[in-house]
Amino acid sequence: MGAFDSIITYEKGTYIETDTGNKVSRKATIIGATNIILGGKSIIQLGSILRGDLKRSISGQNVVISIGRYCLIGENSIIRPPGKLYKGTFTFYPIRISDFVHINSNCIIEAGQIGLGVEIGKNCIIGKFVIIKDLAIILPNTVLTEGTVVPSMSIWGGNPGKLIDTLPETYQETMEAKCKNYYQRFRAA
Amino acid sequence: MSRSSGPLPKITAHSTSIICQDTNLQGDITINEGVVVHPKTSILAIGGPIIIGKNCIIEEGAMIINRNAESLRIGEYNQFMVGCRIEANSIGNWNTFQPRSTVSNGIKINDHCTFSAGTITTPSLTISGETEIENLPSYTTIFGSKSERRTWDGTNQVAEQNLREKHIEYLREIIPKYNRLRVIT
Repeated sequence: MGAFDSIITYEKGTYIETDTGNKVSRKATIIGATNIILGGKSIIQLGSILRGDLKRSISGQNVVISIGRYCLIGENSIIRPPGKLYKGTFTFYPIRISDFVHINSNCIIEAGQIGLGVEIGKNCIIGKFVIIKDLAIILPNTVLTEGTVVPSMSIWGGNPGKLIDTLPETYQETMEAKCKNYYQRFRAA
Repeated sequence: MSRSSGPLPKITAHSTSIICQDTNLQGDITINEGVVVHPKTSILAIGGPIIIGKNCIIEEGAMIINRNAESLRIGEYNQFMVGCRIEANSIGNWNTFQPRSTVSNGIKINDHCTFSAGTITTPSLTISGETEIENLPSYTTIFGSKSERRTWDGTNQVAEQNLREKHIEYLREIIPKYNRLRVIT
């Protein structure tokens, strides 16, 4: 990580750039786009699936997936809202992803909430209604079971996922710089 | 998997089943009433036919493959979650295949089994060292990084079944609103 990192290129025209700087792959599957909010300067890479169609049972417009700024949804990752029974009826619940969140390739995310500056490694499975607080690292190949709560400034790994280590207090600046750097480097060839 | 190789699809589906357009269906497939097939799923009947029983849920990224000459019978109310890969010989009722669980060929699954996230299930070796078709008893749970087995005592079974019924009912209502459905003639 630094000023001299090589740029990550993609073929021109394979990504759609929005006014707010989001880069969305044309090969990503986005269902129910009206229920998805992208904060700006976020990247959605090819093959990823976002399920905005699985909305709450209450009628009217409601947000299903909200993603903050400088986020990355890696290749072939799947983001779908979790569902459960509430007062005898089945309903899906919205998934909130804050700013500076990196989700690497081949992840399955059914979390309820992902905090600021969270990094999720490759091949992770995040179960239903998992809450990940700010500035956590989920190591590659981790399986977090249903309803796990990951506290802030911690590193989790394993199957089932367990607390492994903690992070230094300066981590917020590191992560924000890393996400901004990644966005700058990700451009058309 | 975008290329359409293999035999021409011969799909028979019940009028109350919901099959999304963006799916990969190959071979001889029978889909019974109330089944919900999400987009981006693969059902590949490369060998014999696949028969899917009533009210199954097949989520995105799931893969059901039959390479054997015999037909693969899937019972009622099974849930195939995101990214699971199933090559079993037969499947009973009320089973749950959690995200990215793998079941290899040579296993007969009975009822109420759970395959936890990220587990791999292969038939156990017999004394002679050869693998043969293993019958996985009802209420078996596969869990953890070593894919260990234990038996579920049936706690909360009624609640779980209630959840599954309500889940599929809600999916049948919501999926046609946002997805293009496959028209089976």
